[in-house]
Amino acid sequence: MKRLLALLLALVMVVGLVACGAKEETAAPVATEAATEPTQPAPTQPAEEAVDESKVITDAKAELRVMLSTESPHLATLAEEWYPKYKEYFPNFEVEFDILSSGYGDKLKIACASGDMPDIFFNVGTIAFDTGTALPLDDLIEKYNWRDNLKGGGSLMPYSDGHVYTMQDGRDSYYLPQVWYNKDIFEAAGCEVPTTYDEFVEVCKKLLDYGVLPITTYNTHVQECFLQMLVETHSKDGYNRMISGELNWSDPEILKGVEKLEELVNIGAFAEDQTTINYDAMVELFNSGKAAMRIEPTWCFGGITLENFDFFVLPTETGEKVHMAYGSATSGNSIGIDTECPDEAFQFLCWMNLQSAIYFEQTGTFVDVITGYDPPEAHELVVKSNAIVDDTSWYKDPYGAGVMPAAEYSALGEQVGKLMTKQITAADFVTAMDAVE
Amino acid sequence: MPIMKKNRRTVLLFTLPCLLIFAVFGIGPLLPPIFYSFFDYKSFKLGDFTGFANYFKVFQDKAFGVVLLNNLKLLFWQFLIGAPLSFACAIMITASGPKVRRFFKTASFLPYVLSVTVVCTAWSMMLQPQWGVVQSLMEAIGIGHLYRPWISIPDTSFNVAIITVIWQAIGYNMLLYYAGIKAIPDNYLESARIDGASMWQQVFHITLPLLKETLKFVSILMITGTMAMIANVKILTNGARIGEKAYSTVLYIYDKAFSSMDFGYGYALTVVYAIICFCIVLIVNKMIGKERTEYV
Repeated sequence: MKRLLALLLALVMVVGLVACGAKEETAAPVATEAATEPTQPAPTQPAEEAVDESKVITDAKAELRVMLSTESPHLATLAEEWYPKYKEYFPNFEVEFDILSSGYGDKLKIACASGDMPDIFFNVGTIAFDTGTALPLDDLIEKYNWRDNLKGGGSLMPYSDGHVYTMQDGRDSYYLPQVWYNKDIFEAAGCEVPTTYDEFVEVCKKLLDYGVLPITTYNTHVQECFLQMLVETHSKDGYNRMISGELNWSDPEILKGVEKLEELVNIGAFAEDQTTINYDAMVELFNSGKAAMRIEPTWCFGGITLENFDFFVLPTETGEKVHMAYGSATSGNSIGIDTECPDEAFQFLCWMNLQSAIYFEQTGTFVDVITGYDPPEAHELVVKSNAIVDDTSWYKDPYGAGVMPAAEYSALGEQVGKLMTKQITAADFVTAMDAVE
Repeated sequence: MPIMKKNRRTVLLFTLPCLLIFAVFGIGPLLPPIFYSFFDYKSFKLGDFTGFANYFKVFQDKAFGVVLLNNLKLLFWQFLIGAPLSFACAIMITASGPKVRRFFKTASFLPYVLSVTVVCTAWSMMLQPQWGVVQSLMEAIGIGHLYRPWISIPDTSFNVAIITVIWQAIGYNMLLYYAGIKAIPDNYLESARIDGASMWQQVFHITLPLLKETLKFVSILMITGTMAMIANVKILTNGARIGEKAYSTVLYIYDKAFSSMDFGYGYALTVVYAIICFCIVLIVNKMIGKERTEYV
């Protein structure tokens, strides 16, 4: 009996330790995608015969430390399954991968503060550039002719000081913040796709009367992009003029955006637990039909398991074509300023970008890097999304939160949380934001 | 003690390595925060010397007062419910037969074995509004209208964290009390039983007084664990920023330092909080008394 109990306790401890390491935010989306017929086949890494005979990119020796965030199942697959197969291309490299599913931003800040930057890291925010701990990549890009590997070069965005610090496969430029909607619910509730912002609010009210939650979105998306989207509905460039210092938070253009968020909160457009909702639960709300609309950029497309869905861009008050452009100078992977082997780190970074591009191209996402493979036929909604991004008649408002100072971004998160839990009003919100040093 | 006074040099020589390690790794890390708290230190850039400006800001910070009250509230409930429950479990286990004792020891210690991530994730899933078991149960028994998303409501969010902390700590504190009770010589309690003392009289007049040192030890552990609490809040709320009503003090300090990148202010908060915690430990130490229990 004693032995049995001891075994049981040991089992509980092991299960507890395993649960500690589980990526709670990424587990369910993979299961959700696999549970029903996926809209795109799972990406596969190129088979050996598909790759050029001389696979080795360099036989130089190097020891690299690579720090990555795996906040989505796609990034997790890349970091844990694709990137570790680097030996075929870099036989004399020793690469240590430091992979985090949560708390990545804090770890990056600690690395910046301590000066212990990894050789390659996924960049978040502007802290690495402002503290001078990220290596400007301009010279290396020219030296290795990286631009020749790109379709348009849009993935190389300079920061405000004119230097390029990040490299990415170019997806971010094609991530359109959009409103995905359940067509069946819309039809049953008698809702039409809104063409103006006022119509959007009316749709939310109609859905509430029908007994369905109007909007589901991840808790940080409100702070990161939805607030900017709301400002764009009446002021196409107001948010970025506020970021640049031309406007204050309490200026009417910005205040009106916050008031729109307050209105949506007050009518009950969001879930009761919107501020604390887990990503998997948020996804399931939409996929199970409990929520009619999901506000999230194109990267979420692969995880939508509904049969009858579509999207629209959040309409402006006047119907003017404005959308947020998610690509940013801060999006992508960077090289630490203190790396002992910048050339090798850059070559590895280029290879990582290529792997990422191959992966996402297979999901039907547009990438800027030339992969050499024929992309699968993209889903019609992905084609529709890319067409809007390519359409120059749309005004593209750059992603503001990506270049917001850290203190202001932190305060924004707190004020959004307080507004969405009805602790403060829009006026309190902007007053608090203007007080941030 | 007289032997130690006689061989002072030898004692010092043997304790020197430990003292050095403690000085370097225990006391040493406390000094930079104190130093930097007197500077304007933001976004990793050390600015001007500001004197006590950061400390004045601490005493004017209403949000700090709110989060401090949260931790004191947790401490209050730990002493009011957590500690008595653990003690009651320990008494019950002591009074039980061998088989029942083994079962209850394991059952009450199980929550402590689980990691805080598992505990808080399980609680947040149980309390989830759309699919949580609590909401479903309440609907099933006809009290669904009383359900609230307690974790998402700022006024009740920290209360859920309190429940998880107390629930998880019961087993560990119970084991400490149990060990203390077992250390009491049987002849004291046997004499009391022979004299006709009831179980409660034995507990209050013999067991509790002789458990003073254990009580002190458990109290200090509870204080240090409670005042350093951060993970429960962060995991339960999924890292949400719903204001100071839902924060613990350490989480608030962490937020100020690492999210707002105001390290100078964060260090000042740390120093003030450390002093407050130290005072609480001193008070509890004084209340429980310091005479050593020696059995005849």
